[in-house]
Amino acid sequence: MSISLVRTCILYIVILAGMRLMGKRQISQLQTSELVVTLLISDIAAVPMQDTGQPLVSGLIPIVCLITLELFMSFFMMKSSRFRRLLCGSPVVIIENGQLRVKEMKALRITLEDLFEELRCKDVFSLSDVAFAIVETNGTLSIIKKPEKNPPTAAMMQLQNSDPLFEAVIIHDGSFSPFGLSFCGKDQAWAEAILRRKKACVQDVFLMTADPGGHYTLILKEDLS
Amino acid sequence: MKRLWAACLLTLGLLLSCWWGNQTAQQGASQMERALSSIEQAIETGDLSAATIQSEALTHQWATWHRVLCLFLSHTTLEQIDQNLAALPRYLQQEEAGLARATCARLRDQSENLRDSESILLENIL
Repeated sequence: MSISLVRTCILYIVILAGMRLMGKRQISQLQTSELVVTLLISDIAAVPMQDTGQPLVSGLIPIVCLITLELFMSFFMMKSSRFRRLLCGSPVVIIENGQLRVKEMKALRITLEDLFEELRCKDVFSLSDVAFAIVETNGTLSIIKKPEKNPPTAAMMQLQNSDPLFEAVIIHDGSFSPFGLSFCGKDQAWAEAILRRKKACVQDVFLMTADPGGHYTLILKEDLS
Repeated sequence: MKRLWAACLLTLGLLLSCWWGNQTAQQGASQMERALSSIEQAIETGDLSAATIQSEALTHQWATWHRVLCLFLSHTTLEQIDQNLAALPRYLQQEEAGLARATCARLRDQSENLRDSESILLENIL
């Protein structure tokens, strides 16, 4: 029992480090090779975890080998578009100017039900609204609506654009977030000055957010109770 | 680029550990076969006390190899060798030459399997 416990901890750390090493690509939309690696790693890790008669290394070697191969594959895919196409395929257009491309749909084995479900998920309710629908190499469907069916943008309406303002968390549960502070261009002194005015200290703060314009939201811990 | 270097280092580590595993298994099996030949020779000449001493020495030697081999070989395989090695000196002490010879043959077969288990052979790959 204790062997399984220790092995599980070791494998957890190794897989976590491996996924971190493979990067953010691995945990977002999966390409074919990434999907294969993720499935295999989870399967291989289970064997030495449960069967203490198998050496831990017999699980670690294939896991490290898969991580290494994936790293090399992603490097070669980055260097050669031909290699990437060979491994991941190419995006396929299945709707062009509101017209279905049945041949491509058949090749991809996408049914009309699947297609319309995807369209509804992306707030498209009529085929004629679609300029292009493209099945990406990771299997997701990208939809480009016809210009006249798109909601108007500020640029189309010739409105004066102001700087985008978005809030960042600068204090969370009594501690400053350096990332949030730099993100909204403020410093600790600015936040502390506000807190002094509110007769509070950093430890009293549950959440404080701010935007580059200096607007802020402050929630104190005492407000929660 | 850092990830590529990490991949290169991992590959090197993998190749080294595979080579080390292969070498250790080969060496362990070869030494065991040599020791078994010597024991069998002693049994053939009727010197069972010398064979007993040699078999006990082999058991002690095996304990050292076991600690390394269990890092990459199935524990079940190694435990079978443990059991046979534990029985061999007892058979010799009881002057059961036939059973001792049979145990030696079994151990020889197991050590051959041990040698082959880490070799890159078509049978192992397929």
